[in-house]
Amino acid sequence: MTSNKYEVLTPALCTLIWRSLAFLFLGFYWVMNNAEEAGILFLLFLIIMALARWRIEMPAWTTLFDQAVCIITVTLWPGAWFALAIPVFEVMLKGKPWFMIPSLIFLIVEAQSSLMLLLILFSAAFTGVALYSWSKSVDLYKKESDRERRHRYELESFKRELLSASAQTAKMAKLEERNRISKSLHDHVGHELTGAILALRAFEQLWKEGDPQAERLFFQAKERFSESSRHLRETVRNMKPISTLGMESFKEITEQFNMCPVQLNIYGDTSKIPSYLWGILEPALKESLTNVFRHSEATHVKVSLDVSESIVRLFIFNDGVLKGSSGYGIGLRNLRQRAQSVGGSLSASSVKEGFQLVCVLPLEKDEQE
Amino acid sequence: MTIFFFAIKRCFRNVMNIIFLCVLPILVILMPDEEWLPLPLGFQMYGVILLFAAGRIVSIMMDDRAKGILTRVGISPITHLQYLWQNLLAYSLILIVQVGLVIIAGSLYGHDLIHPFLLFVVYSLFALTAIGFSLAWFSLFRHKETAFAVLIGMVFLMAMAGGMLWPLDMMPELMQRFAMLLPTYWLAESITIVASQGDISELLIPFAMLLLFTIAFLIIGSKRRLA
Repeated sequence: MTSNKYEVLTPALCTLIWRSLAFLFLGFYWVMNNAEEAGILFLLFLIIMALARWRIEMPAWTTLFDQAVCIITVTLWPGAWFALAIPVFEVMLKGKPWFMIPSLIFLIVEAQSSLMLLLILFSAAFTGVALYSWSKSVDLYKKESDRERRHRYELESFKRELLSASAQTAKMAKLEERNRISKSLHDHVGHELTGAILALRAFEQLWKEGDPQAERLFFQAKERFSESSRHLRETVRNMKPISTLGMESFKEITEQFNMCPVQLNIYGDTSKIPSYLWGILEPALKESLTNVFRHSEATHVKVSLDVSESIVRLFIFNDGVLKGSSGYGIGLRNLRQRAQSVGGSLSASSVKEGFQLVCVLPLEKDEQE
Repeated sequence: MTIFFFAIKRCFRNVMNIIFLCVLPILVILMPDEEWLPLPLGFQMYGVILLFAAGRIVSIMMDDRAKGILTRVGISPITHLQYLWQNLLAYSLILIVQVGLVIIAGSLYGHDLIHPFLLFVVYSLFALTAIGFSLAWFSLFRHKETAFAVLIGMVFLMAMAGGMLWPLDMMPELMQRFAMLLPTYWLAESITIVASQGDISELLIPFAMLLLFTIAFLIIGSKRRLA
């Protein structure tokens, strides 16, 4: 939120200023005019009504009292005509001009057509309407911004849930795949291998005894071995995805980037990284390389991927100076949320020599699953 | 009514308060009669003393605000309205009793008070206005010392401009009209009416003015401000 230096000037404050000025002028007018005691009584009454309006929310019909008092006082002190500006202002401030009808009728009946009076009443009405619509629009903006904020929070929490759900799904898919492989190995390869082993044992027995049937059993066992080897090959081929994944695609991305040389260092065993973490590391690399291309004039980019026992750390550094806006853009913010959803963190910061991005993701131990 | 009784006790805890509430009224009674004044000199000045006394005792509520007692009251099951009216009732009662005692003692001392009962009503009403004025005054300030320092000047100004210390006829016409915007003018006015044995209906406007001033001051002062 940026602070606005005009924020002090709210509709409420302007209303207060208007009322104070009105009473100041009215008071001066009374002092300069012939000083009647009724005038001061009347003035004090109006001041009390205004103070009450300042302290508590008073409905628009209470201005009828003001009007009545004005009309009564007019017979004693003609200056009270000008005081009608106060109920006019209050009525307009509430957006209910029809409460002014009694005074209007009285004005017409008394045939008051002093230009000064009409001017003052009109300007009071105009100020009241302006303040009324101002406060209405301020209220509207406040409501609007509240609603927007709520929507944004809802969206963010929804996104977090979605991300954690996707991580969950990836884990589930892995488990299912593992299940499928083990089933396939058990049903086909294992079965054939067991059969082959049994055949070999029988062959061994017969071969020792010099039975002529041994040869047939040997071929049978050989057949079974080749069958199981075929199953094994098939299972492995089914497992292997068509598109490149993980490390290979990581290398591909860095090779394809041709704006400046990218130095890629990899430490540790990358096979420990599960696929759903690759799903974060890859976009992080892509995003930061895109940012380098878009926002900086880097001559060198260093990427290092560090896999330790329990965490993966991706460090991307470029020596370009940041151009334009700083802070988190939408891409980095998204990545950050994705990193947070798997319990990791991502931070991007501008350092003296350039810009760096560090992403740390936790590795889950296989034993826990 | 715990707050009410406690407020009464609190008013007499401070030496300065006791001087304002008990010693100064005695001085009022002991002041001599003057030829050129309708009332004894002390009774002409009594309004100023009432203003100061009200300022002293209402400043207790400002202490509450400054020391954060009001915040603690705010979280207790006491509404701000209860706190306010019990305190104000206690202060009003103290000042009205003081007014009554001063007038009874004055008559017993031998002063000619012309119409003691009406005078009692006038001063009691003014005591309420003084309490309201002090309440509104202290609500405008953050520090008690500043508020008091300015209040002293303000009270003398009001007393002088309102015609409590000398007749208003000595001042220019414009000043006389400005004076009508001060509550002290209406006290002086009603005292003059009582002293000149005027018609009771003449007192109506001054009384209405004092009441309206009290209401206006109470509306300003009743706004809850937490330090």
